[in-house]
Amino acid sequence: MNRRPLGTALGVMAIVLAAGVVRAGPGSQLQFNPNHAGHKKAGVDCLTCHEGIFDQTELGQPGSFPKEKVCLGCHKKEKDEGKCGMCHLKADKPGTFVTKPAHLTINHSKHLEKDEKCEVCHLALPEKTSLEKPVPPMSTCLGCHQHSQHQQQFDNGQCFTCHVDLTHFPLKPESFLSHKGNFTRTHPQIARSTSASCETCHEQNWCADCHAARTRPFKAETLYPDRPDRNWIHWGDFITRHSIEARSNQAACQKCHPVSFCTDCHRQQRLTSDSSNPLNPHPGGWLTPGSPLFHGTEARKDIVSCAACHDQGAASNCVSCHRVGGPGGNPHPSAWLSRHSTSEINGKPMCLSCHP
Amino acid sequence: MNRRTFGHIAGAGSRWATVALLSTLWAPVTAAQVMEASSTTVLRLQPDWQAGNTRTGFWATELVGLTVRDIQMTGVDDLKIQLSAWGQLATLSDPVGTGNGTTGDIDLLYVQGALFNRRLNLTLGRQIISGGAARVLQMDGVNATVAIAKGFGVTAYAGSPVVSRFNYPVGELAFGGRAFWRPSYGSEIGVSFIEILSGSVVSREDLGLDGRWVILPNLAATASGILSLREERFADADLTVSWQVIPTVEIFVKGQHTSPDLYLPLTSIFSVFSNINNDALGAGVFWQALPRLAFYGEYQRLWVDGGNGDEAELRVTYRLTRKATVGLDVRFLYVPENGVTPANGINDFRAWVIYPLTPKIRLSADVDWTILHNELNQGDDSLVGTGSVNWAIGSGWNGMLSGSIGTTPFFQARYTLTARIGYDFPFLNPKASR
Repeated sequence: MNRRPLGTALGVMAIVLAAGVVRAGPGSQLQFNPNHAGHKKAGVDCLTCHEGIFDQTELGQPGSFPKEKVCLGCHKKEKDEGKCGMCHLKADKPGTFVTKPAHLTINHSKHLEKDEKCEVCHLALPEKTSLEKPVPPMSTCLGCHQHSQHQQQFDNGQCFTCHVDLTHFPLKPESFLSHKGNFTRTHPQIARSTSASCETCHEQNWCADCHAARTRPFKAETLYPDRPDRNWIHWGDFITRHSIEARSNQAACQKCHPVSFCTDCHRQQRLTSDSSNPLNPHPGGWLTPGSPLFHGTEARKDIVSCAACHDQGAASNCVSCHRVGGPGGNPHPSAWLSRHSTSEINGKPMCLSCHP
Repeated sequence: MNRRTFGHIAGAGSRWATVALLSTLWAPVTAAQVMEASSTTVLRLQPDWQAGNTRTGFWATELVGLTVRDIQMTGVDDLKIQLSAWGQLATLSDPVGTGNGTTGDIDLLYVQGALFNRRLNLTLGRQIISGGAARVLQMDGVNATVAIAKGFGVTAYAGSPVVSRFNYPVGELAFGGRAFWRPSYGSEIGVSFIEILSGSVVSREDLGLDGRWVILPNLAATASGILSLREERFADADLTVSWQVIPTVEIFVKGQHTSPDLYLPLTSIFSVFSNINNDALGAGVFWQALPRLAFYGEYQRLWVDGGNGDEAELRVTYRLTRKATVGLDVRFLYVPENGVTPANGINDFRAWVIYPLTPKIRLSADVDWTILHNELNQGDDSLVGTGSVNWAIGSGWNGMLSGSIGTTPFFQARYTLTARIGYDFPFLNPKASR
C-alpha cells in the first residue's frame, strides 16, 4: 500500500475533525441560566420556583418561569451585592427569560395531575455551563407505561397530537417515523441512512432482539410469541416457506445468517456432502454436461444455495473437479478475467485451493 | 477454549480484556443515577426433526439486561453502560445450532459517552454498528462519531466481527466509516466504507452511498447502494419514493437490486463461480380508512434466478378498543422454476387478535395457514395456531404462557410450549415499574 496518500488523507481528516471539535457551542438568545444542579443539591424542589407550571395547559403560557421576586426570596443578598452574573448571562445588561415559539402541545397541568415528579419526563436538568437546554426525548413520551396512548398515536402517525407544526421537524411523510405498513421489511432502507433517528427512541438492546443473530440463541418470534401484531420475518411455519422465501430474495437471508447457518441445519437433515449417510437432493443429469439440469448452469443462477451445503473451504467438493487441470474446467463466470488478474492468486488461500 | 461457552470473545487475551473492562466499569456504576435491569427466563418445549427422526427438546434460557445511565464523570456526558447476555441449558441441539448442554453468550456489552460538549460520541465494547455499508455489524471494538458542524459529521469504527455460534470465519478485523450530512431531522446523506479482513485476505471491501431526503413536505425518497470495490459491482441498491397524498393515504414505489453472490465473503470459494442479480420493482399503499381501520397493500415483480416471480401482500388492522386489535394478513409469493427447484409459491393467510381481558391480563392468538402451490415433502399446506396469555403480575414481575400447535409438510403434528417470566428490578429504577 502506498502510505503517503493515506497519511495525507488522515492528516486532512484530523485537521477537519479538530476544527469541528474546537468550534464553539451554538449561539443562543438565552439571557438567564440559573444553576439547576446547585438548586437540586440544596434540596430545592422544582415547583418551588416553577409553581406556575401547575396551571399551564400549553407551552408558552406565562407563569412557568419564576418572577424575579421568587428568586429574590433566597438570593436578595446576591442582588444587593451586584452579583448579577450568578444568574444572568449578561451581567452588565441583565435580561429576563426569552419566550420561544412552542413547537409542542404539552399540557403540564394535566401531566402533573398524574404525577408531580418533573423528572419523569425531564431526565436531565439544564447545565449551568451549557447553553443547550435538554429537552425530554420523544422516547420519554412514548415509553410512559401509564399513558401508552402516546405510543399508539405515534404508531398511527398522529404526530399533531403533540407537535404543533412539523416544519420545525420536517418529518413528513409521517411514515418515516410512524412505522406504518410492513415496517419490519422497510426499516433496513431507512435505518441505513438515518440510524441516528432510530436511536432517538431505540437503544441497541432493542436492535439486538433481531440483529444479534450471531449470538442470540433464538429468533425474536420465540421470545415474543404474544406479539402477533409485529409481523415477524419467521412467523408461523417458516421451515416450510424458507426455500421459497430464500429464492425470492437470496440476499435477504445472508444479511443475518452466514451460509454456515444453512449448512448446520442441512447437515442435521443429511443434506450436505459431509453429513453422515447423506441424501442426494440433486436431480438426474446433475453431473451430465449438456443436461438441462447440469449443475454448472444452475450454480450460475443460485450460487448461494450451493454454498448453503457445500462451503467447506478448500475441502469443498467443487475443488476436486474444478481445480486447474481437473476434469471440471474453468468455473469462473465469463467476465471474471476482465476484473481479475492471475497476480491476485498469490497469497489468497481460497485461490490457491484450485491454483496451486 | 470451548467456543460454545462464552467462546465468542476469542482468545485468552480478549477474555482478560473483558474481565478488565467489567472491573473498570463497575466503579462508575455505583455513581449512576439511573439503572435499569431485567431478567427474562424462557422455558421452551418443542419437537425437532433431525436426520429423519423427531425428538423433543427442552430449552431453558436466561436473558439478562442491564442499562446504567447518567454515570457521573467529569468531561463526559451521557455516559452509559449497556449489557445484554444470556445463558442456556438445552437437552437438544436446536436448528439454529446453539448446541446442547450449557451454553451462553454476550449480545451487547459496551460503554458509551459523549465528549467535548457532545461533539464526540464514543462507544467501546461489543456493539451493533448500523448504517451505510456496514449494514448491521455486530462487533467487538470502538465506534466514534464526530459532529463537525452544520449537520456534517463522521463516524469511524474498528474491531473484530463477532464470531457466530457456528465459528464461521467472518473475518478477524473490520474497519470502516461513514461521512454524513444531516441538513434536517429526517434528511441525511452519507458516504461509507467497510473492509473486513480474514487473516491477511480481504473478505469484504465495500463502498456505500445512502440518502434519505424530504423533497417536499409530503414527498420523500430513500436510496442506497453498496458497491463491492473488488468485484466492481453493486451488492445491493434500492430506491423508495413515498408520497403522502392526503393525511390518511400514502403511496410508495420501490425498486431493489441485489447480487446475492456478493453477500458471500470474498474468502468463500463460492464467491468466484457466479455473477447473478436479483431485482424487484413494486408499489404499495397505506390507507387509514377510519381512525380504527387501516389497510396496507403492496405488490412487487421479482426477477430471480429462474425468471420472473411475484409477491403481493394485503393487511387489514382494526382497533377494537385502545388496546385490543385484530388483524388479517394475506400474502402471495411465487418464484419460477430454476432448473433444480420446481416453480413454487405460497398463499398465506394469517389472522390475529390481541385482547386485554383485564388491565393486567392480555390474550393474544393467531392462526397462520400457508397453501403451497406445489407439494413439499408430500404436503401442500400447513396450519399453525398460537395462543398466548400475558400477565402483568406487578412489583416488577410479568409472565407469559404460550402454546402453538399445527400440522405442516414436515410435521404431522407440531407443537411448541413457551413460558416466559420477566422481572425488571423496580427498586433500581422506580420509574420503570410505574
